[in-house]
Amino acid sequence: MKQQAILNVDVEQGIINKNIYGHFAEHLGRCIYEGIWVGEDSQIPNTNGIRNDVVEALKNINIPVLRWPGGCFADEYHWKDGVGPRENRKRMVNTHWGGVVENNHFGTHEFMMLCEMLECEPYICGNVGSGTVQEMSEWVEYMTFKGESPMANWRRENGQEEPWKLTYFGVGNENWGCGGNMRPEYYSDLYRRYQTYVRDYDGNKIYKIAGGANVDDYNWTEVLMRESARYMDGLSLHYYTVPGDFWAGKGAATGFPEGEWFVTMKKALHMDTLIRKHGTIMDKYDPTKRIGMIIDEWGTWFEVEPGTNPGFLYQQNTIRDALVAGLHFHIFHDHCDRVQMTNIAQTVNVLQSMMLTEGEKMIFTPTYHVFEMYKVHHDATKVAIDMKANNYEFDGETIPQVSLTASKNDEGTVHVSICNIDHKHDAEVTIDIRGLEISNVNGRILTADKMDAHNSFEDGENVKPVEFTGFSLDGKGLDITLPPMSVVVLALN
Amino acid sequence: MMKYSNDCKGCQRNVSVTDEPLIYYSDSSIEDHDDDEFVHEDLYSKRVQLCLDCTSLQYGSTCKYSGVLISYKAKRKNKSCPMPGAAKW
Repeated sequence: MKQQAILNVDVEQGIINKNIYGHFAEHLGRCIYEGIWVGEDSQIPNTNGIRNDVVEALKNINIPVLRWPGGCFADEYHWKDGVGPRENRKRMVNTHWGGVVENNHFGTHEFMMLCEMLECEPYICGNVGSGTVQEMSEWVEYMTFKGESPMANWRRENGQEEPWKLTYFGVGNENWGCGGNMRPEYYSDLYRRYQTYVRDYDGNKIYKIAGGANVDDYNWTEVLMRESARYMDGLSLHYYTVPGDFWAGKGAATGFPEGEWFVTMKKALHMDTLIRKHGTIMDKYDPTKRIGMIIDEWGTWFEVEPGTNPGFLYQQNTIRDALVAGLHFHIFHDHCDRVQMTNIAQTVNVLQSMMLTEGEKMIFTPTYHVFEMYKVHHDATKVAIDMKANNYEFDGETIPQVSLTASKNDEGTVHVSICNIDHKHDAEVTIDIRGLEISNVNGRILTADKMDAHNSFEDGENVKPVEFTGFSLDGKGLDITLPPMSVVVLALN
Repeated sequence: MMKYSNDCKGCQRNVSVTDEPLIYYSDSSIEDHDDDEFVHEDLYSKRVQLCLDCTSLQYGSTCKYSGVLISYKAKRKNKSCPMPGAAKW
């Protein structure tokens, strides 16, 4: 049965903050080391130790912001270990991620250099779990203080004359878990204390992000908002899409049964419920929505690839991941009045990554392609698009078959993105367009004929976007036929 | 009603890597030997020795370029050494 949507271009619903398309790179597995940092002496083409191919790829998706150094790693990271001559930097054990050796060759200067290469905003997460107030305070001073001070002088000695611009700073990570196993009341008090010394120097204005809830821990949000709202600019939330059980078996990234496709989509859609419920609590204490919801960890989480180091969280990435990304973006757009940044986990080689590397080889994942197709929504104005989707049914359960979103850019072009999450059936959609006379439509599609279609080092272009022609334009609007498992972006002029 | 975990990703014990002997992460599929998929024992041993002597071996078990356990990779016909510009096998 054809599904009817109504696009009201005149009904504007806020700005889609480009930071919704943000990323996250942790010292975990091969994300930082080998995925981004290979060192200046590597045979892999690099600039000052950073892979050229990865930088080029991330620039191509207009990466807006990058979170670092964790994650769990942030709450055991001592930044002073990672500055100064590399040969003198401490070697330490990364206890969160496999007990592997961390040589601290990628530290503050290298991260800031990476952000400059990417032309993106740095988002640094400080250490509350095992760090001191002084340590956090001095890190901010080291990075952003222009004048004469012990930390600013040390930065200059280490080769960086001018302070860096730093906007986003997180005060701890997952402090309900790996970041200290704290109660919300305790963390809230610590947050108030630590953030006091995260100072604005020389015109640099820091956007302070408090460590937020895990999944549906609404009490955490309630306590943080009640006790500390006036001290924060953002409050984080973490939610991963895990088709199986977190402890008993998450499910495989490839070769999974039909039921796992369905439950993955269902669990991805749960993000909407979480934002609504946490958002309702935030509204109670912050009705003007001054405080941004910062979803700084999200994405799929499967079992690691067979034969890979279990501490590295390396997973393949299929057309299923692409649909998960598309659904998340539609949800984030729907809540663009509250959601101001999100950071998918993680950029390279870990969890739902953009790229996978093996030595000098690099491939794009289907998720990368969604980020590339959706960059048209960065900082665009969300416009109203509503539909009652048909049911996608599996084993007695139903979820909406089609999800869509629309935005208008400064040139007046309207972009409509649509996901058909049904793994078997086409979706026929008619969009009734109001408030825009259109004469030209073009589109791209990302789809596949198998649920676990993916790219590999042997075939890096198995899943990639192509021109989409499955639509017709008449006087009233657009008739579209979406194949199963597809992500489509249309440009309407 | 779906149930959601409230657990922290870093708290999983199964992410730990230890410096146990090479075959610590045993691969049961190797036991079901298939000549089309797996190399013979002599070639496997040669590959593993090259990996053990390689400066890019991490934790006594893992290739730093691929994150793959060498015992897994060396056994498979369709795998190769990923060292940039200087593949050892």
